[in-house]
Amino acid sequence: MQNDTFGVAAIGTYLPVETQGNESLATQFGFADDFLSSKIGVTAPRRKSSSEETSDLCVRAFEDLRNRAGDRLDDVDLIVVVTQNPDGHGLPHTSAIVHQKLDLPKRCFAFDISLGCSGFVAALAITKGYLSATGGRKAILFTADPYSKVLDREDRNTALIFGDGACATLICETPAWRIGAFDFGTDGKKSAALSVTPEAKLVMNGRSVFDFCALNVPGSVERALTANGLTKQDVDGYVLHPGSRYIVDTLHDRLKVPRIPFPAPYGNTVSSSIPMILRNMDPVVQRTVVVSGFGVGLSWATTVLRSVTP
Amino acid sequence: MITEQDVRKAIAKARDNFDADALPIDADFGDAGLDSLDQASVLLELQEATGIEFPEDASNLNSIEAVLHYAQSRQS
Repeated sequence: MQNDTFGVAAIGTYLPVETQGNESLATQFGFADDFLSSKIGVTAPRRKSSSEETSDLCVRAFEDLRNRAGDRLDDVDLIVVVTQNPDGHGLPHTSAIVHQKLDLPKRCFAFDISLGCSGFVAALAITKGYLSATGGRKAILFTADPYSKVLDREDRNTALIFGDGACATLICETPAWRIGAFDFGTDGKKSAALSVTPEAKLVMNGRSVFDFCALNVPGSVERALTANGLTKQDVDGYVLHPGSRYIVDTLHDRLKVPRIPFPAPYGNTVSSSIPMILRNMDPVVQRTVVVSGFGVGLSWATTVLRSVTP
Repeated sequence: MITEQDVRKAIAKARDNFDADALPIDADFGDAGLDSLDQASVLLELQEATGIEFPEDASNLNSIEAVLHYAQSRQS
Protein backbone atom coordinates (compact mmCIF):
# COMPACT_ATOMS: atom_id res chain seq x y z
CA MET A 1 0.00 0.00 0.00
CA GLN A 2 1.50 3.31 -1.04
CA ASN A 3 2.06 5.84 1.71
CA ASP A 4 0.83 9.14 0.28
CA THR A 5 1.87 11.25 3.23
CA PHE A 6 5.47 11.68 2.04
CA GLY A 7 6.47 15.03 0.69
CA VAL A 8 8.99 17.84 0.51
CA ALA A 9 9.69 19.19 3.99
CA ALA A 10 12.71 21.50 3.50
CA ILE A 11 15.34 22.33 0.90
CA GLY A 12 18.96 23.36 1.32
CA THR A 13 20.91 24.84 -1.57
CA TYR A 14 24.46 25.61 -2.56
CA LEU A 15 25.66 27.85 -5.38
CA PRO A 16 29.43 28.34 -5.74
CA VAL A 17 30.59 31.94 -5.48
CA GLU A 18 32.67 31.99 -8.66
CA THR A 19 30.82 33.11 -11.79
CA GLN A 20 31.51 33.08 -15.49
CA GLY A 21 30.94 36.45 -17.17
CA ASN A 22 28.46 35.60 -19.91
CA GLU A 23 28.25 39.01 -21.58
CA SER A 24 31.79 38.99 -22.89
CA LEU A 25 31.48 35.34 -23.88
CA ALA A 26 28.26 36.04 -25.82
CA THR A 27 30.01 38.85 -27.66
CA GLN A 28 32.93 36.56 -28.37
CA PHE A 29 30.52 34.00 -29.85
CA GLY A 30 28.99 36.70 -32.08
CA PHE A 31 25.51 36.71 -30.56
CA ALA A 32 23.30 39.80 -30.87
CA ASP A 33 23.32 42.20 -27.91
CA ASP A 34 19.91 41.13 -26.62
CA PHE A 35 20.44 37.39 -27.10
CA LEU A 36 21.54 36.76 -23.51
CA SER A 37 18.68 38.63 -21.89
CA SER A 38 15.89 37.71 -24.30
CA LYS A 39 16.80 34.12 -25.12
CA ILE A 40 19.23 32.58 -22.64
CA GLY A 41 18.42 34.39 -19.39
CA VAL A 42 21.61 33.15 -17.75
CA THR A 43 23.85 36.11 -16.97
CA ALA A 44 26.32 34.72 -14.45
CA PRO A 45 26.52 30.92 -14.36
CA ARG A 46 28.19 29.60 -11.23
CA ARG A 47 31.37 27.57 -11.40
CA LYS A 48 32.67 25.27 -8.68
CA SER A 49 36.35 25.49 -7.82
CA SER A 50 38.65 22.87 -9.27
CA SER A 51 39.16 21.39 -5.80
CA GLU A 52 35.43 20.88 -5.17
CA GLU A 53 34.04 17.45 -5.95
CA THR A 54 30.39 16.61 -6.57
CA SER A 55 30.12 15.17 -3.06
CA ASP A 56 31.47 18.46 -1.65
CA LEU A 57 28.62 20.34 -3.34
CA CYS A 58 26.20 17.92 -1.67
CA VAL A 59 27.79 18.50 1.72
CA ARG A 60 27.47 22.28 1.31
CA ALA A 61 23.79 21.93 0.39
CA PHE A 62 23.33 19.66 3.41
CA GLU A 63 24.82 22.34 5.68
CA ASP A 64 22.21 24.78 4.42
CA LEU A 65 19.47 22.19 4.89
CA ARG A 66 20.63 21.59 8.46
CA ASN A 67 20.22 25.31 9.18
CA ARG A 68 16.62 25.04 8.01
CA ALA A 69 15.60 21.61 9.26
CA GLY A 70 17.74 21.13 12.39
CA ASP A 71 17.03 17.92 14.28
CA ARG A 72 14.45 16.85 11.71
CA LEU A 73 17.50 15.47 9.88
CA ASP A 74 18.14 12.87 12.61
CA ASP A 75 17.51 9.19 11.83
CA VAL A 76 17.57 9.46 8.05
CA ASP A 77 16.85 6.11 6.37
CA LEU A 78 18.15 6.94 2.91
CA ILE A 79 20.27 9.37 0.97
CA VAL A 80 20.11 9.61 -2.80
CA VAL A 81 22.38 11.58 -5.12
CA VAL A 82 21.07 12.46 -8.58
CA THR A 83 24.08 13.03 -10.81
CA GLN A 84 25.70 12.15 -14.12
CA ASN A 85 28.95 13.87 -13.13
CA PRO A 86 29.89 11.89 -10.05
CA ASP A 87 33.03 11.97 -7.94
CA GLY A 88 35.94 10.33 -9.76
CA HIS A 89 34.69 7.69 -12.17
CA GLY A 90 31.46 6.95 -10.34
CA LEU A 91 32.71 3.94 -8.39
CA PRO A 92 32.12 4.11 -5.50
CA HIS A 93 28.84 5.90 -5.95
CA THR A 94 28.89 9.52 -4.90
CA SER A 95 26.13 8.98 -2.34
CA ALA A 96 28.42 6.59 -0.46
CA ILE A 97 31.09 9.31 -0.36
CA VAL A 98 28.51 11.82 0.90
CA HIS A 99 27.46 9.22 3.49
CA GLN A 100 31.08 9.08 4.67
CA LYS A 101 31.55 12.86 4.71
CA LEU A 102 28.37 13.37 6.73
CA ASP A 103 29.29 10.49 9.06
CA LEU A 104 25.86 8.91 8.66
CA PRO A 105 24.91 5.67 10.46
CA LYS A 106 25.32 2.30 8.70
CA ARG A 107 21.57 1.70 8.67
CA CYS A 108 21.16 4.65 6.31
CA PHE A 109 21.21 3.29 2.76
CA ALA A 110 22.70 5.28 -0.12
CA PHE A 111 22.46 5.10 -3.89
CA ASP A 112 22.90 7.30 -6.95
CA ILE A 113 20.39 7.96 -9.71
CA SER A 114 21.71 8.60 -13.23
CA LEU A 115 19.38 11.21 -14.67
CA GLY A 116 19.79 14.79 -15.83
CA CYS A 117 17.20 17.55 -15.82
CA SER A 118 14.27 15.20 -15.17
CA GLY A 119 16.16 13.76 -12.19
CA PHE A 120 14.69 15.70 -9.29
CA VAL A 121 11.07 14.90 -10.11
CA ALA A 122 11.89 11.28 -10.98
CA ALA A 123 13.80 10.95 -7.71
CA LEU A 124 10.77 12.19 -5.78
CA ALA A 125 8.92 9.12 -7.06
CA ILE A 126 11.84 6.77 -6.40
CA THR A 127 12.47 8.12 -2.91
CA LYS A 128 8.80 8.04 -1.98
CA GLY A 129 8.57 4.49 -3.32
CA TYR A 130 11.65 3.37 -1.39
CA LEU A 131 10.35 4.78 1.88
CA SER A 132 6.93 3.21 1.31
CA ALA A 133 8.42 -0.17 0.42
CA THR A 134 10.83 -0.33 3.34
CA GLY A 135 8.83 1.29 6.11
CA GLY A 136 11.31 4.14 6.14
CA ARG A 137 10.40 7.60 7.33
CA LYS A 138 13.00 10.06 6.08
CA ALA A 139 15.26 10.54 3.09
CA ILE A 140 17.55 13.27 1.85
CA LEU A 141 17.50 13.73 -1.89
CA PHE A 142 20.67 15.35 -3.19
CA THR A 143 20.95 16.80 -6.67
CA ALA A 144 24.43 17.78 -7.81
CA ASP A 145 25.47 17.62 -11.45
CA PRO A 146 28.36 20.04 -12.07
CA TYR A 147 28.42 20.32 -15.85
CA SER A 148 31.60 22.41 -15.65
CA LYS A 149 33.33 19.00 -15.54
CA VAL A 150 32.29 18.35 -19.14
CA LEU A 151 31.58 21.80 -20.61
CA ASP A 152 33.40 22.80 -23.77
CA ARG A 153 33.97 26.48 -23.15
CA GLU A 154 34.29 27.11 -26.87
CA ASP A 155 30.91 25.55 -27.70
CA ARG A 156 28.39 28.34 -28.32
CA ASN A 157 25.51 25.84 -27.91
CA THR A 158 26.24 25.05 -24.28
CA ALA A 159 28.89 27.34 -22.75
CA LEU A 160 26.42 30.09 -21.80
CA ILE A 161 23.71 27.91 -20.30
CA PHE A 162 24.86 25.53 -17.60
CA GLY A 163 25.85 26.40 -14.04
CA ASP A 164 27.07 24.39 -11.06
CA GLY A 165 25.03 23.99 -7.89
CA ALA A 166 23.50 21.48 -5.53
CA CYS A 167 20.38 20.97 -3.44
CA ALA A 168 19.50 18.76 -0.50
CA THR A 169 15.79 18.06 -0.11
CA LEU A 170 14.30 16.46 2.99
CA ILE A 171 11.55 13.97 2.17
CA CYS A 172 9.46 12.85 5.14
CA GLU A 173 5.94 12.32 6.49
CA THR A 174 5.55 15.86 7.84
CA PRO A 175 6.11 17.88 4.69
CA ALA A 176 5.34 21.37 3.48
CA TRP A 177 4.16 19.95 0.16
CA ARG A 178 2.84 16.45 -0.51
CA ILE A 179 3.94 14.70 -3.68
CA GLY A 180 1.12 13.91 -6.10
CA ALA A 181 0.68 11.58 -9.06
CA PHE A 182 3.30 11.62 -11.81
CA ASP A 183 3.69 11.66 -15.57
CA PHE A 184 6.90 10.30 -17.10
CA GLY A 185 8.32 9.62 -20.53
CA THR A 186 11.49 8.96 -22.53
CA ASP A 187 12.36 9.25 -26.22
CA GLY A 188 15.53 7.19 -26.40
CA LYS A 189 15.80 7.71 -30.16
CA LYS A 190 16.82 11.27 -29.36
CA SER A 191 19.34 10.34 -26.66
CA ALA A 192 22.31 11.63 -28.66
CA ALA A 193 20.82 15.15 -28.69
CA LEU A 194 22.27 15.80 -25.25
CA SER A 195 25.28 13.68 -24.52
CA VAL A 196 28.96 13.55 -23.58
CA THR A 197 31.50 12.55 -26.21
CA PRO A 198 34.31 10.01 -25.66
CA GLU A 199 36.55 13.06 -25.22
CA ALA A 200 34.41 14.02 -22.21
CA LYS A 201 32.84 17.05 -23.88
CA LEU A 202 29.16 17.91 -23.57
CA VAL A 203 27.35 18.28 -26.90
CA MET A 204 23.78 19.42 -27.47
CA ASN A 205 21.58 19.58 -30.54
CA GLY A 206 19.65 22.64 -29.45
CA ARG A 207 16.89 22.32 -32.02
CA SER A 208 16.25 18.68 -31.23
CA VAL A 209 16.06 19.40 -27.51
CA PHE A 210 13.82 22.42 -28.15
CA ASP A 211 11.43 20.38 -30.31
CA PHE A 212 11.32 17.60 -27.73
CA CYS A 213 10.44 19.98 -24.92
CA ALA A 214 7.92 22.04 -26.89
CA LEU A 215 6.14 18.95 -28.20
CA ASN A 216 6.10 16.84 -25.02
CA VAL A 217 6.16 18.94 -21.86
CA PRO A 218 2.81 20.75 -22.20
CA GLY A 219 1.07 17.39 -22.67
CA SER A 220 2.88 15.97 -19.67
CA VAL A 221 1.74 18.89 -17.53
CA GLU A 222 -1.86 18.40 -18.68
CA ARG A 223 -1.73 14.66 -17.93
CA ALA A 224 -0.19 15.23 -14.50
CA LEU A 225 -2.93 17.71 -13.64
CA THR A 226 -5.60 15.26 -14.76
CA ALA A 227 -3.96 12.44 -12.78
CA ASN A 228 -4.20 14.64 -9.69
CA GLY A 229 -7.81 15.63 -10.34
CA LEU A 230 -6.82 19.23 -11.06
CA THR A 231 -7.06 21.81 -13.81
CA LYS A 232 -4.87 24.80 -14.65
CA GLN A 233 -7.27 27.00 -12.67
CA ASP A 234 -6.13 25.19 -9.50
CA VAL A 235 -2.42 25.89 -10.04
CA ASP A 236 -0.64 28.61 -8.04
CA GLY A 237 2.74 28.20 -9.69
CA TYR A 238 4.65 26.35 -12.37
CA VAL A 239 8.27 25.33 -11.89
CA LEU A 240 9.28 24.23 -15.37
CA HIS A 241 12.95 23.30 -15.58
CA PRO A 242 14.74 26.55 -16.53
CA GLY A 243 16.94 25.20 -19.29
CA SER A 244 16.91 28.65 -20.87
CA ARG A 245 14.60 31.65 -20.89
CA TYR A 246 13.45 30.80 -24.39
CA ILE A 247 12.28 27.31 -23.54
CA VAL A 248 10.55 28.49 -20.35
CA ASP A 249 8.74 31.25 -22.28
CA THR A 250 7.81 28.82 -25.05
CA LEU A 251 6.35 26.31 -22.60
CA HIS A 252 4.34 28.95 -20.74
CA ASP A 253 2.97 30.17 -24.08
CA ARG A 254 2.05 26.66 -25.17
CA LEU A 255 0.36 25.98 -21.84
CA LYS A 256 -1.46 29.31 -22.22
CA VAL A 257 -0.35 30.52 -18.80
CA PRO A 258 1.36 33.85 -18.09
CA ARG A 259 5.10 34.05 -18.58
CA ILE A 260 7.29 34.56 -15.50
CA PRO A 261 10.62 36.36 -15.04
CA PHE A 262 13.42 33.90 -15.80
CA PRO A 263 14.20 32.40 -12.39
CA ALA A 264 17.76 31.09 -12.87
CA PRO A 265 20.29 33.79 -13.86
CA TYR A 266 22.89 31.62 -12.05
CA GLY A 267 22.56 28.96 -14.76
CA ASN A 268 20.84 25.74 -15.65
CA THR A 269 21.84 23.59 -12.69
CA VAL A 270 20.38 20.44 -14.27
CA SER A 271 18.63 18.28 -11.63
CA SER A 272 19.03 21.03 -9.02
CA SER A 273 17.13 23.59 -11.06
CA ILE A 274 13.67 22.80 -9.67
CA PRO A 275 14.49 22.56 -5.93
CA MET A 276 16.64 25.68 -6.32
CA ILE A 277 13.43 27.58 -7.24
CA LEU A 278 11.08 25.69 -4.90
CA ARG A 279 13.19 26.67 -1.92
CA ASN A 280 12.12 30.29 -2.40
CA MET A 281 8.43 29.50 -2.81
CA ASP A 282 6.02 29.85 0.08
CA PRO A 283 3.77 26.82 0.66
CA VAL A 284 1.27 29.08 2.41
CA VAL A 285 0.82 31.16 -0.74
CA GLN A 286 1.74 28.79 -3.56
CA ARG A 287 -0.26 25.80 -2.43
CA THR A 288 -0.50 23.87 -5.68
CA VAL A 289 2.68 23.80 -7.73
CA VAL A 290 3.39 21.93 -10.95
CA VAL A 291 6.99 20.78 -11.23
CA SER A 292 8.36 19.42 -14.50
CA GLY A 293 11.89 18.42 -15.41
CA PHE A 294 13.01 17.52 -18.93
CA GLY A 295 16.23 17.00 -20.82
CA VAL A 296 18.83 14.21 -20.94
CA GLY A 297 17.37 10.97 -22.30
CA LEU A 298 15.56 12.70 -23.77
CA SER A 299 13.11 12.39 -20.92
CA TRP A 300 10.51 14.23 -18.89
CA ALA A 301 9.09 13.90 -15.40
CA THR A 302 6.18 15.90 -14.02
CA THR A 303 4.18 15.95 -10.80
CA VAL A 304 2.12 18.27 -8.66
CA LEU A 305 3.12 19.37 -5.17
CA ARG A 306 0.23 20.28 -2.87
CA SER A 307 0.75 22.26 0.30
CA VAL A 308 -0.26 20.80 3.65
CA THR A 309 1.03 23.89 5.47
CA PRO A 310 -1.82 25.60 7.32
CA MET B 1 1.70 22.49 -49.27
CA ILE B 2 3.79 25.12 -47.47
CA THR B 3 3.54 28.54 -49.08
CA GLU B 4 5.80 31.56 -48.81
CA GLN B 5 3.10 33.22 -46.72
CA ASP B 6 3.08 30.26 -44.31
CA VAL B 7 6.80 30.72 -43.70
CA ARG B 8 6.40 34.47 -43.18
CA LYS B 9 3.58 33.87 -40.70
CA ALA B 10 5.72 31.36 -38.81
CA ILE B 11 8.56 33.89 -38.64
CA ALA B 12 6.23 36.61 -37.37
CA LYS B 13 4.92 34.24 -34.70
CA ALA B 14 8.43 33.18 -33.66
CA ARG B 15 9.87 36.67 -33.33
CA ASP B 16 8.09 39.66 -31.81
CA ASN B 17 8.57 43.02 -33.50
CA PHE B 18 10.04 41.54 -36.65
CA ASP B 19 8.69 42.58 -40.05
CA ALA B 20 8.49 39.17 -41.69
CA ASP B 21 6.75 40.57 -44.76
CA ALA B 22 9.74 42.78 -45.51
CA LEU B 23 12.23 39.90 -45.43
CA PRO B 24 13.56 39.12 -48.93
CA ILE B 25 12.83 35.54 -49.91
CA ASP B 26 16.51 34.71 -50.28
CA ALA B 27 17.78 36.67 -47.26
CA ASP B 28 19.87 34.69 -44.78
CA PHE B 29 17.92 34.34 -41.52
CA GLY B 30 21.03 34.95 -39.43
CA ASP B 31 21.97 38.09 -41.34
CA ALA B 32 18.41 39.33 -40.93
CA GLY B 33 18.62 38.97 -37.14
CA LEU B 34 16.86 35.64 -36.64
CA ASP B 35 18.93 33.48 -34.32
CA SER B 36 19.00 29.69 -34.08
CA LEU B 37 16.19 29.60 -31.53
CA ASP B 38 13.94 31.70 -33.77
CA GLN B 39 14.72 29.34 -36.64
CA ALA B 40 13.88 26.32 -34.46
CA SER B 41 10.51 27.88 -33.64
CA VAL B 42 9.80 28.59 -37.31
CA LEU B 43 10.50 25.00 -38.34
CA LEU B 44 8.50 23.58 -35.44
CA GLU B 45 5.55 25.80 -36.33
CA LEU B 46 5.66 24.62 -39.96
CA GLN B 47 6.10 21.00 -38.90
CA GLU B 48 3.06 21.12 -36.65
CA ALA B 49 0.98 22.86 -39.32
CA THR B 50 1.88 20.54 -42.21
CA GLY B 51 3.35 17.33 -40.79
CA ILE B 52 6.58 17.82 -42.73
CA GLU B 53 9.58 16.82 -40.63
CA PHE B 54 12.69 18.90 -41.08
CA PRO B 55 16.17 17.38 -40.69
CA GLU B 56 17.96 17.55 -37.34
CA ASP B 57 20.74 19.52 -38.98
CA ALA B 58 18.74 22.34 -40.52
CA SER B 59 21.63 24.75 -40.91
CA ASN B 60 21.06 24.88 -44.68
CA LEU B 61 17.42 25.90 -44.24
CA ASN B 62 18.52 29.45 -43.63
CA SER B 63 16.13 31.44 -45.82
CA ILE B 64 12.47 31.44 -46.79
CA GLU B 65 13.49 30.15 -50.19
CA ALA B 66 15.53 27.29 -48.74
CA VAL B 67 12.69 26.24 -46.45
CA LEU B 68 10.24 26.27 -49.36
CA HIS B 69 12.58 24.23 -51.55
CA TYR B 70 13.02 21.63 -48.83
CA ALA B 71 9.28 21.43 -48.11
CA GLN B 72 8.45 21.10 -51.79
CA SER B 73 11.03 18.33 -52.22
CA ARG B 74 9.37 16.40 -49.39
CA GLN B 75 5.89 16.87 -50.79
CA SER B 76 6.65 15.98 -54.42
